[in-house]
Amino acid sequence: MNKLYEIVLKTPWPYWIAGIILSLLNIFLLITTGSPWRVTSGFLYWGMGFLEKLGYSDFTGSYIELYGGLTAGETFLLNTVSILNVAVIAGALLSVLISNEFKWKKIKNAKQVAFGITGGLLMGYGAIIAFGCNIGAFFSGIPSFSLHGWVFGGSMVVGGVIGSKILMRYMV
Amino acid sequence: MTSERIEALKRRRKEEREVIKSTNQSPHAWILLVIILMVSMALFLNQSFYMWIFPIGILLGFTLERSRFCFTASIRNPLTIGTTKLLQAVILALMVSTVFFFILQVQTLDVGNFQLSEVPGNLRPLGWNTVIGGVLFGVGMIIAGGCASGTLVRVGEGFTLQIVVLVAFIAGAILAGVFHYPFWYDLFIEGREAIYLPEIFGFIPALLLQLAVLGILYVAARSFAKRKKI
Amino acid sequence: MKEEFLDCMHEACPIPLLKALKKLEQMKAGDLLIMKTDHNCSITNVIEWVDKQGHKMDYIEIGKGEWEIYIEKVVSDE
Repeated sequence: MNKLYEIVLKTPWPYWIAGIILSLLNIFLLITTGSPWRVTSGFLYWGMGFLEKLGYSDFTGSYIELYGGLTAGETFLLNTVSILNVAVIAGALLSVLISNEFKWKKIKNAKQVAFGITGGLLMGYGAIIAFGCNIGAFFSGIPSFSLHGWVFGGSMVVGGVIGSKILMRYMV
Repeated sequence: MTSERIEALKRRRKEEREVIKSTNQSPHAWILLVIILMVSMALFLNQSFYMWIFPIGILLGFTLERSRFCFTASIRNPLTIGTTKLLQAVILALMVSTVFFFILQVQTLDVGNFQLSEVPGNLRPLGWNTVIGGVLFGVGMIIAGGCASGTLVRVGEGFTLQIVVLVAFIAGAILAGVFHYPFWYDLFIEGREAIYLPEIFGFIPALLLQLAVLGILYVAARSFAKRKKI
Repeated sequence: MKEEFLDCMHEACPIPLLKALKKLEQMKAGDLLIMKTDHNCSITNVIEWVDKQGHKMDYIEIGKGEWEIYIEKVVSDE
């Protein structure tokens, strides 16, 4: 029993097994909900919900107005993608707790924060104008046979080369 | 691979530090599990197909954390340290998904006569916005140390930094999706449609072509790791 | 036979590995490197890289979500 716990819930699973599990979950999601795995639009919904709370609700010409995504009865807080995002966070937390490794991890210095904020802004901005992040456009877009998935993947690698240069030069 | 000297060092460090007996976190895990089940039920009562989403999301997060699967590292590692196991796993996952998505699409569609909007999956317009957005995203995920899914997983693992990244991510999304969207829309997106590969090549050829390209990338990644010595 | 210590607490991926890489370059064959980290992804990354280089390594959990990684530098004769 102890050994089984070690292998299944303590030692990291091999990447390739995880990859296959993620693919299966993604197709299962597509079958049950009609939409594959997406992340970023959920962030946008949250942001727009927040703007609404602040009293800003002029969304003419916005991504959501043009490409929607919310079905009847869904709100900025309660919708497929937002629920999925919360679930991913909870699933990760469950995993860490089971392997007995949870710890609040502190921020080391201001540099980390500066790079984190810059990176976050770039990701949010890029993902919206490109119609998806590494999940929606890449991990779900390519298997959907949509060419934008491939172009996004290639561009992401180009960005990765630039990012790695910045990383090696300023962060190590 | 360990060695005798490492084993000796392990024993010595354990004595020196007297490894902290960590408190058992499994009660917390049980509590969380109960909460998860309750939320799933509540969502099910709200709208029946919501019931599936929550558990699937839990499994996605669980799998990502359990395996340390990381899309950022799959791209960064070959570039910085010359290892490609993750990249190979990502390509493999794409091949498996390709086959499943294909089966679903062929079953759903009337192959001879269909509208793009009927195709199950994520079909989106292609244009220069894809390239620009992709590059920005690529730079961002490397310097922030995590992609969209990676950030969520790290938040669950208790990283304070990733909470900051998540807030910035949302801010970036609002900036582009609400305030700057008319600009990008007029410039690149208006009038563009998704390019659906089976529409160009036919269904079976598109499948074979995509699997072939992914297969070549897989082999290339493996031989790259063998050649590259860093 | 030297023993080096690298404190990578609160460092995000891939900084710990890149620091180790720099450090190992300066070390001689047979030297030992001790790394302390609280980033679980770093461990899998370090394992893959170290295996490829042919160094020896192992790790222990020294506290909740904190690990020490031990690496013995091996230089192959190729």
